[in-house]
Amino acid sequence: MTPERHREFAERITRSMEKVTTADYEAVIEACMLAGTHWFNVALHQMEMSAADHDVLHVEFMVVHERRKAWLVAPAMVEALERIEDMRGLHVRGNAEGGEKAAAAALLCLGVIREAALDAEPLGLTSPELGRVSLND
Amino acid sequence: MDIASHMEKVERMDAIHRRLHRQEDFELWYWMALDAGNQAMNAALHASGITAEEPELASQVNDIYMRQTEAGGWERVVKRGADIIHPQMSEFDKPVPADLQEAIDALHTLESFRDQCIRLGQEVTPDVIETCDAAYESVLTITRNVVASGGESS
Repeated sequence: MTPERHREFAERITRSMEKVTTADYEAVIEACMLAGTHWFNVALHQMEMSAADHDVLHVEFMVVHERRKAWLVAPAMVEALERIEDMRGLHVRGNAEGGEKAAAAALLCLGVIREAALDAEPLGLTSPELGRVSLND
Repeated sequence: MDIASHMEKVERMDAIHRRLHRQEDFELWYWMALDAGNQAMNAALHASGITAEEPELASQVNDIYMRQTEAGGWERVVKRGADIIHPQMSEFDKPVPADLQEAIDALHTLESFRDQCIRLGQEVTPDVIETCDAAYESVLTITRNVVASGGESS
């Protein structure tokens, strides 16, 4: 999707978060994951590190070399989204202690990702289309 | 996770789902239904003896679980047959009764809108919302019955 559409989604999800509190930690963590991933895609598209038709679903699912490049350029952003993703197993799918504390941390992580996306500018790197690796190429 | 904990999650997530506006808050309204539906499915699968109540917590990846260490931290482990994360990405080692299969199909219907509407920008029409709502209610009704009957199929 285009950066503009990702941003629309991120902002819609963030508005919905006004209807929940950290006591609803499952919803806060999931909303931070969803909105954070949209902002993450805004950043990668703006930096021209990913093509508009190539969106990231989860950092955990990124191809290793793409994740490495993103981390080298924006380590705080990558680590913030990874941290939110790691909360899902413990506090959304699972019942580990500390859900509210995790939700508060997820909100801070979302702020880090959003800020990185809003600051993102083209880096003038090689087209991401040329960086894809496949045995069939 | 054990059945009681899954059902506690269902009640928490369902309460949030019902508090949200189905159109204005579609993304989170939908996602809470998806999460609650999956929790309810895990409870029903455990109650039916198809998957096991295990202490490990499911991650974002099939067969990777979070296990609590003796020191109180968490470590990743690989195993099979505990909580599922998506029914269409799961293999079951025991036959699935017809009513539970109906719930799996309904959850699959709900999931079919996930990437299209939440991540790829497909328009959320009243029909989409109605279909998601009906699928979600079907998942909850069937799985709650399975859990209440101790895994006996109706």
